[in-house]
Amino acid sequence: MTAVRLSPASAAAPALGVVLALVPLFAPHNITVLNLGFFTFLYVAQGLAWNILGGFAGYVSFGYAAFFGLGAYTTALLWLHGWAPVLTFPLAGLCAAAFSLVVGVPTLRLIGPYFSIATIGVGEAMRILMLNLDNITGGASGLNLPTVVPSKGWFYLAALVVAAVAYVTAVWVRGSRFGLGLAALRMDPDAAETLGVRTALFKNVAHVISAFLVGVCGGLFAMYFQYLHPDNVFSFTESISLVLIALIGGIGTIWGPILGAAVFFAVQDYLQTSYPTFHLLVYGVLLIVILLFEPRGLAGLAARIAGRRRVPAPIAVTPAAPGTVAPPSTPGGAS
Amino acid sequence: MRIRGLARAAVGALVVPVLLVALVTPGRPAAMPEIKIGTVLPLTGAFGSSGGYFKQGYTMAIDDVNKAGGLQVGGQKYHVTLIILDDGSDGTRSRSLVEKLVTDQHVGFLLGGYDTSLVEAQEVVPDQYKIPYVEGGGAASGIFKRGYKYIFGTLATIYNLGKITMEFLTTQIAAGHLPKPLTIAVVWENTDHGKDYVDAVTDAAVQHPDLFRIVLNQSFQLNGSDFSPLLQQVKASNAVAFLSDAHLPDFITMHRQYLQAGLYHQFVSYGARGPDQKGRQALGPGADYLIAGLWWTPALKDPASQLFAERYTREYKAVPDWFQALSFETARALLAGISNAGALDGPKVRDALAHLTLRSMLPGGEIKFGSDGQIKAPYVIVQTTPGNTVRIVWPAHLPETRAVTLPMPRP
Amino acid sequence: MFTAQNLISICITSILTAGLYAVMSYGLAIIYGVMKVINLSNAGFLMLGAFMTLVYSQAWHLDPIAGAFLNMPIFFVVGWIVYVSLVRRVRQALPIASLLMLFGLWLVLQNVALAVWGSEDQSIITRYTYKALAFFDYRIAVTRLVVFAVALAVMAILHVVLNHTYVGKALRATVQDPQAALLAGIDTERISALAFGIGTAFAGFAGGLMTLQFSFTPDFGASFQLKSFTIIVLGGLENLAGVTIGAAILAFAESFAVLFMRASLQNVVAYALLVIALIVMPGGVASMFGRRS
Repeated sequence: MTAVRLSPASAAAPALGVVLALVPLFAPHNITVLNLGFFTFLYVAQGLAWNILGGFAGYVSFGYAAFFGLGAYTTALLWLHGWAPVLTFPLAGLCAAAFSLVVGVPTLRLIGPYFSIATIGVGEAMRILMLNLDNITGGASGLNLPTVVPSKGWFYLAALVVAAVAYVTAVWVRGSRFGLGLAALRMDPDAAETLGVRTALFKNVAHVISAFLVGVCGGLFAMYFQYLHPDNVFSFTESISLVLIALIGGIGTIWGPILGAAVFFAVQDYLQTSYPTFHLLVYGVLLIVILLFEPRGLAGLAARIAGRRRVPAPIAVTPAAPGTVAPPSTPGGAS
Repeated sequence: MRIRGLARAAVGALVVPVLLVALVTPGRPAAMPEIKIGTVLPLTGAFGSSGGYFKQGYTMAIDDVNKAGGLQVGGQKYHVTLIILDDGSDGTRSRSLVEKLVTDQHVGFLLGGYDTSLVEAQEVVPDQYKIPYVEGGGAASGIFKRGYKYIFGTLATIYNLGKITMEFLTTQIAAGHLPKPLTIAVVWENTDHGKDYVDAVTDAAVQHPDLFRIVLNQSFQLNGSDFSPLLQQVKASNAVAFLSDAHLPDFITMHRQYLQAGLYHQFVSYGARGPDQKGRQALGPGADYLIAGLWWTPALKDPASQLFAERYTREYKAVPDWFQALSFETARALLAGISNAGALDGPKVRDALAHLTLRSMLPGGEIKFGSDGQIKAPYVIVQTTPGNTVRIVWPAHLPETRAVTLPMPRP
Repeated sequence: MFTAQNLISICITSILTAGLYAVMSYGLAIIYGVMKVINLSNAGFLMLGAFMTLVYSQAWHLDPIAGAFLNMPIFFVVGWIVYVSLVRRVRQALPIASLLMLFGLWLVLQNVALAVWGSEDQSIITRYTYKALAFFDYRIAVTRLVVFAVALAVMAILHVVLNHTYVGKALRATVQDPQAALLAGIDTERISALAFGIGTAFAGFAGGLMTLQFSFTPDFGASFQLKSFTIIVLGGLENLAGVTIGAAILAFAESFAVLFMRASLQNVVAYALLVIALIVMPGGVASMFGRRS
């Protein structure tokens, strides 16, 4: 396992983390900032997690809401049975991870777009099922959770911790042989297989890791929101938010999801009070523009401005500069 | 030099219009303190049209108070500012926006959103910040079973809607208009709202097995597009009465497909739906002779209701449904609570609301909240009649009550 | 519940629904068949087709069926432009790029429609919206019959075009083997643009037809999108004729499933079939798993 190289970028993150952690000390009563921080960190964590499968391995899933929701309901149900919510988080993650295995083993055998479509189906099916499993989830009545919760400052820090864990995980994955294997199978699965990369195992491990993290985020969300309804946590909007965050920020990078989540929430927060769904229009346009001109998203844009040129993005549309690894010229698999 | 000139021009270009606007806008009298009331409504999305009606009702009530010189609280008059945000019918956003209203905009009081599912998401916030919250858009009893102290609702519970529908059916069976035992097909939206309704229907059937027999009991997904398989089952069940608990878009879709499939029942009720203007426009004569249980109807002849209906028609050039009346009364109730408390303190206003008795145009004549925060008020039952009219058919003691046409005429 | 009359009634509705489902899915099938692109914006064009038909109906009192036919040339042009300006540029990249781009386009279409028409439920009422034909003991809504008849007619025309015109044969050749088609002198780029145009035209046409049966908002099309994809997967992805089979399977499955489970679970049938079909599919599935068959 190669060591994680310490570059300016990777030293910046812990520094940023420390600065952010101090915010509640200086502004303990500024609920707006604390709320915004909570959601941003939660989505940074989810974006980083999604990216492990979506960016590193190249399997774009539109169904991560299933993991978020499962994590949320696991925490909720255990909490209602008397568990301390924080203790439920690992279980929330495990539940989501287990489900990801059940779903992932058959669907990850499909290539790219078919996997994506299948995940839409799975995500939506889970939502409708949860709406109807009244005995377990309360169905369409939703679940009312205990009302005694820690302060907003606590949630802010908890979300920051989860985001930090996700960051460290993502960095570790990328720098490891496992991450190298994921990159290989993203670029050419058959070649990777012949080189000894156990693609099926690697894909599923990536799926499980990212699902675990997203499940924990779901659990934390349940504790914050104190009311769960399948339409809120299993929604397609939740799933596409993760895709958008990673894509706009820069798919396959570490800072991409971080930037993406920050921009996503800044834009949403700004537009929310006047046009509640307008931000989706902005993202749709951004998505098209990014795919056409800068597939590495905002992170790629930043890198370009800083003058660095590296391996092209997983979904690059322009041919690579000479001397770098080129993406396959035909869609992976059948023509 | 040129830059400085440009900068001056820019500042001038910004400042002058602002000054003009400030001079021209009729603001409140200088130095009049203000009360901020916030509300998060679904102005777009699945519940968009109903959310819009609520905005109308709230605005009318607040405009009234401001035009009369402000709200009298203690020894001081206050200008009331209403801040309305749109949650796009999304629960997560709804709750976040309510919290934003409290933490960012520092509203002192909250008016509720529309629809049970959105109210249930919103209601976590008021107790946390000790902000009184009065809503007229969520009727499910579940809203008031969570032990919150700052939540008040002016909509009578849906369970009662189902209950009085069954009571009305009992009177009709007794009068010989419908057969006994009455076979019922009941379908309900898969939400707390629908569950309340079907619970009442099944409870009544269990209590009176000689009168009612439920031959079909099915739930459907909220905001569905194709109810034909469900209606197929309704047809196959050969019931005499068809009961459905649905919100406005589903009501229109379902009843259109009902008519197209050539279904007929002697008694058809869509819960509180039927007289809604949008429904009558979309369904035409197909929406005639439906039975609906309402929290208010413009067919009520008491002076307050008539006054409100006329005023609404003047301002908005349309006939009001219960949405506008309920939201109007909800806002009035909150304002009365603030006024009665004599202070802008959250807990004091909350207590004032808990003891409020306000004369109102709602059936029963007054607004009074139960210990769980939900109003105890009766319904009226109406039947839609041709020509976009309704007639009140129950309770019998109202002077405007008329005879009902049952069984429904065949199309 | 299981009487013969009820079962036959369900069969009749299923057949009628299948016709609509087939028309709705053809656009997706053609685009996929010719260029292996999954057009997630199909739902958006379906929705726009419905709204355009509404506009014609409000402005000129045009019947929705005429409106649906009017949509065809308009949406063909729109599809062509979308292909040339957007899709063509991402075709050399991994297929996920085109999927994501068209998804972005769907978001844009949805929100533009929201901005223009708002989120209110719209419907078009015609003279025959509430009429039904009596057929022995069964009543069939006129609108369903009309939609079915029009769908059949259009598919028959498509069949003729595909089999008896140069363009149609070129299209089928490109579906079967793009390299060979290129060698045979077919301008595959032109054919691709044509296919995208036709696919979009079908989406607009289907959207117009659907206004006869459903009410719609800018969110309209989302659930139909997944159903369309289920249908083309069920029918065999490379197989244009298979669309009718897939449509029939889904329509029957949905209608009969309600006999055994809650109606609120209705859509799960489509989603479950989709996932199962993708994983277990016979025939064209080899191409999805990255190996040439």
